[in-house]
Amino acid sequence: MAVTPSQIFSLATALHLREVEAKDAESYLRSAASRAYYAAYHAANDAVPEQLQPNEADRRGKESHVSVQVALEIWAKGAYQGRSEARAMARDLPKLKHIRKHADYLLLSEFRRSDADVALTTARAIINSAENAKRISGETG
Amino acid sequence: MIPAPKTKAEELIAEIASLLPRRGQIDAFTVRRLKREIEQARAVDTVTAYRADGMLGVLEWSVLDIESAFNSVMQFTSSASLYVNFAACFQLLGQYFRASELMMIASDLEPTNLTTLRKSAHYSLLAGRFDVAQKISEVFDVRSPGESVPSAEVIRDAIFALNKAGLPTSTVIKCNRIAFDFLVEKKVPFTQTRYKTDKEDASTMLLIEIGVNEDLITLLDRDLGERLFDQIEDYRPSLYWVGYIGEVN
Repeated sequence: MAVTPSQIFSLATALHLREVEAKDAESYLRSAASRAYYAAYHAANDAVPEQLQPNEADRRGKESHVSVQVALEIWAKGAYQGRSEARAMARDLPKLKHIRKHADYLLLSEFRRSDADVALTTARAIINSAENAKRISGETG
Repeated sequence: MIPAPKTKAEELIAEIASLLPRRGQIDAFTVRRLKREIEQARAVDTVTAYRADGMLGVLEWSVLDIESAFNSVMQFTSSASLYVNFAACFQLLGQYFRASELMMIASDLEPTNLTTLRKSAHYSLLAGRFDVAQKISEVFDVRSPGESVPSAEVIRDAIFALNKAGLPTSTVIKCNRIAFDFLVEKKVPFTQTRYKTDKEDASTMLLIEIGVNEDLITLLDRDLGERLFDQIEDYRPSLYWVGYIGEVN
């Protein structure tokens, strides 16, 4: 991988910090939330166990985000390692997706600092859960 | 007109209402005193004393005590205002299904009261009874042409998204009940609730705002997730999400 989810998340954090001095603050907040979502999405995708990974067509198709979410939900319900982390990710990712869609598409609806704050906090939680899940499966695998 | 002096039971209701914002921090001595004074007031103003019992149930986070007070008072009398009072008690503990049932009875008893009808729709919506909320909304439109219940659009959007997702209302009702019951168990009050619907993704969210610190919100929300996955066989958070967030100013 040429870029890691953590690096994308660092960019989200940097955008979030730059909002303070920016004149068009809301664009920075929206971009920060958008990047945070993608960082979390890729982290979650990387953590999905091999047997639950979406197939290549689903992964590259327009439903790629749905396929990762479905994989997380199957993981969360089944008897797989890291299930507790999967449950947290399966719940956090849709919440973050709602914020990301607001940030990227609902341009006439105010996007507040608190929205970006929640996006970053949620993304950080997903990335942490993904790392924990990978560690758990690495320890037991 | 000179206002009638309050009865002792009415004074107690006012006192309990003033204590509700500090639920969870009320000492046992105060609760014992209130119970004793309600008992003393019961002979003079029985119905109001049972209403005070219901309010005390809210203060003590006890759904059973509210239900018991409600059943007791119904043996003496029945009126729209009583149903409204007890619906409000259940609502304060997030018992929206029960609150909506009582509010609908109140509305049937006073069909011209649009406030009661509006609240029936609101409570039904938060119980996850979207189909019921939709029917009430339609009745409201007939009774008050040119005006809709404030949540009419939210109800329509949620129904659209759930139908598109193929998710039964019963799942939503279960999700909401688990989320609100968990707050009662943990004695954490909620301050606001709001639905968000993404019709394109067929996804609906119920955000429950709670006034505690971020770490506790994260902890409670994660525990809620475990319960939802454990207790609901077809739970899919991407289609219906209920959870806790911090207060939005």
